[in-house]
Amino acid sequence: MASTNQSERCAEVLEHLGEVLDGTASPELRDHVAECDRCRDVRHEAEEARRLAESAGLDHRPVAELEARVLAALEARDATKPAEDTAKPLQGAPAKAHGEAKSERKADAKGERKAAKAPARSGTSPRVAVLVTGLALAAAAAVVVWRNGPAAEAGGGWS
Amino acid sequence: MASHRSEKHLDAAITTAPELGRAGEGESPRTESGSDRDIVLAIERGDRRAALSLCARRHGAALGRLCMALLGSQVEADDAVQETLLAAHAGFDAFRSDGSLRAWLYGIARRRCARVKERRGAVQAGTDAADERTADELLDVRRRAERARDLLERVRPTEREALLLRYGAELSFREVGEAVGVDEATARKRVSRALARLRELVKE
Repeated sequence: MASTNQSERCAEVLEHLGEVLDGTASPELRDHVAECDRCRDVRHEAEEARRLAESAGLDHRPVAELEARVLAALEARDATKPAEDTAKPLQGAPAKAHGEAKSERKADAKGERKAAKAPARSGTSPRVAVLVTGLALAAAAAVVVWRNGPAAEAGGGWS
Repeated sequence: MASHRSEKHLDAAITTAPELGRAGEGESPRTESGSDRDIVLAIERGDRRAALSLCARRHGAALGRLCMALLGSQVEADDAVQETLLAAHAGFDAFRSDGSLRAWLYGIARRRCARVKERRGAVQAGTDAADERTADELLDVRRRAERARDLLERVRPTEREALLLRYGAELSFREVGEAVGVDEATARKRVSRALARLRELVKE
């Protein structure tokens, strides 16, 4: 029975590693860690894992004058309206279309989980699209000629 | 506390490199959420530009580290930080002043980075060529960061993000929950699971 309780406590330590590391775990759990060699080792290894997590972004070099750059990007975005993406990437990352970037920012700020969709692509190839459009126009013209007769065709007007 | 000392030591190592800019260090990124009161006030009075400036100045460096941890690329991280701040500016109206501004801001960064990773697909961002540095201490920082990111790639995304928000960005568990849209208990679970998984990976 005692060993069952012991292993349950050990499992509990694993489930609450965050609190164990922060020192906010329950007093019972902290007492268990103090007395259980295995859990002391677990905590030691978890400390290393935490330090590793802390170091994962430390090689980032802060951008010089980030504030000024962001404000400049904001002003550029406001100055030129539709066609271009004015949020200029800092170091050559590919620019996005204005509308796409803007809608993404709105979605981000609202906390929407759904990723903004990539620009819509038709499943039809351009060549097929041109052919279909041409056929449709020809058919429409034939109908108009048939309904209005030669005079209308000569006049070139739609009635 | 020991880990904080360790991180500060590494930060100090980074600062020693002449080629590294320290923009955004004017104010400590380690501020408590309560000290973002001036930003919240700027938002409330409709001065979005001032709010944006303060966000960039105070949280820019920490956002950069978070994005770097999630993306592993200086270029992509910088772009993500800028996009995050512009998204915040566009959505200040959506911010609820009863929540944590840091959590809201870092939540935007998290989604931005997730989107970048999705679009990147299987292409793994490598180290940017322009980032070459020679100082031994900086190389150590980089090696350790790259190893951390390699291992973190094998942690489930939701748990990885929670872990990085907790220990990389130093959000509280409650703020982690706010940032990822779950309750505090779930945030705690995710962090604990990520720690357990990372611990196993470190041992391998």
